Amino acid sequence: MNEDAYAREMIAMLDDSLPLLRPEITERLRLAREQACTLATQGMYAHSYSSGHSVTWTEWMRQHRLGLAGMLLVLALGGGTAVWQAGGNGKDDNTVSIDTELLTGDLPVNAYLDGHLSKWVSNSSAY
Amino acid sequence: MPDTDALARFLAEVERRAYRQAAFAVRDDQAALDIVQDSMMKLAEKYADAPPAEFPLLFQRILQNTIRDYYRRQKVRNFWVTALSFITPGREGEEDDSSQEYVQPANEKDSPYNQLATGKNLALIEKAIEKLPARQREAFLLRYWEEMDIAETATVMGCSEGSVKTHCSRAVRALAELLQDKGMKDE
Repeated sequence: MNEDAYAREMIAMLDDSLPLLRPEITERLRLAREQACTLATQGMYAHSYSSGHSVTWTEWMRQHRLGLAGMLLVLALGGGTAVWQAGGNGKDDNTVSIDTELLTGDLPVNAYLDGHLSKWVSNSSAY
Repeated sequence: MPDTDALARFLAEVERRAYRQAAFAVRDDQAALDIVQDSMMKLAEKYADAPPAEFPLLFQRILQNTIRDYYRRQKVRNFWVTALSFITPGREGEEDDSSQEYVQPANEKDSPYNQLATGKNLALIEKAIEKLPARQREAFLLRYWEEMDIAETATVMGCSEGSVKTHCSRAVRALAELLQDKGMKDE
């Protein structure tokens, strides 16, 4: 059997059948072709299918998924750092307020230095 | 600026064959149309600036990849359908009905296309091509229908030239056997 000749015979029959495709199929193919050409002309990334549903943003998300993931990671790291910094500043604020109390308050400095503050307080209150 | 006239001419020339290729592979008219449309869009979006001489190779590569993507999605879908039908056994019958419709759409039987095809043994050839293993069918259609040489076919299929020759030879022999079984003789 001559394989090439046999194959080409079958292909010739398939070729003959192409003009007989159903009109709704040829119409859909024509629409698809026109949309593709429009897309090529406009150079747009977003497109919608002839069935009518828009896939603009999902398509965009799919194309930029790596960039979006990186952006989210950067945002999460930035947010975490900001929260951590805010927590640290709060601690500093506490220290400042204690220092202020220490320097301006009525309580003697010795009260803070004494390891037995409660004993001192009880002794002081006895007077 | 992309040469849209050349792109339009190329797509008009290739669209029907592309549709038939996809239909042979997925056996579903609507899915085949979606695949061809998707392939056209990808070609226009990414390769509209390419030299027109490169369109056939690029388009075939996109088309074959899109068909493979469809297979993968179907595989995942079938997995979940099977899993869900196990949980909800009431849906099993519905799934069977839809799969029958999926293999052969009801309105296709009565179309003038098929009526004529029956007379010319075309339907037999189409069924035989559908029955071929995917790689053999791909090699056969690219090599003989798209008239690509062996090197180009190998590039599109992502395999060696030797594999292409083997796939093509096996495809033709398998087709001959299938058609002989149905009463068509080779010359």
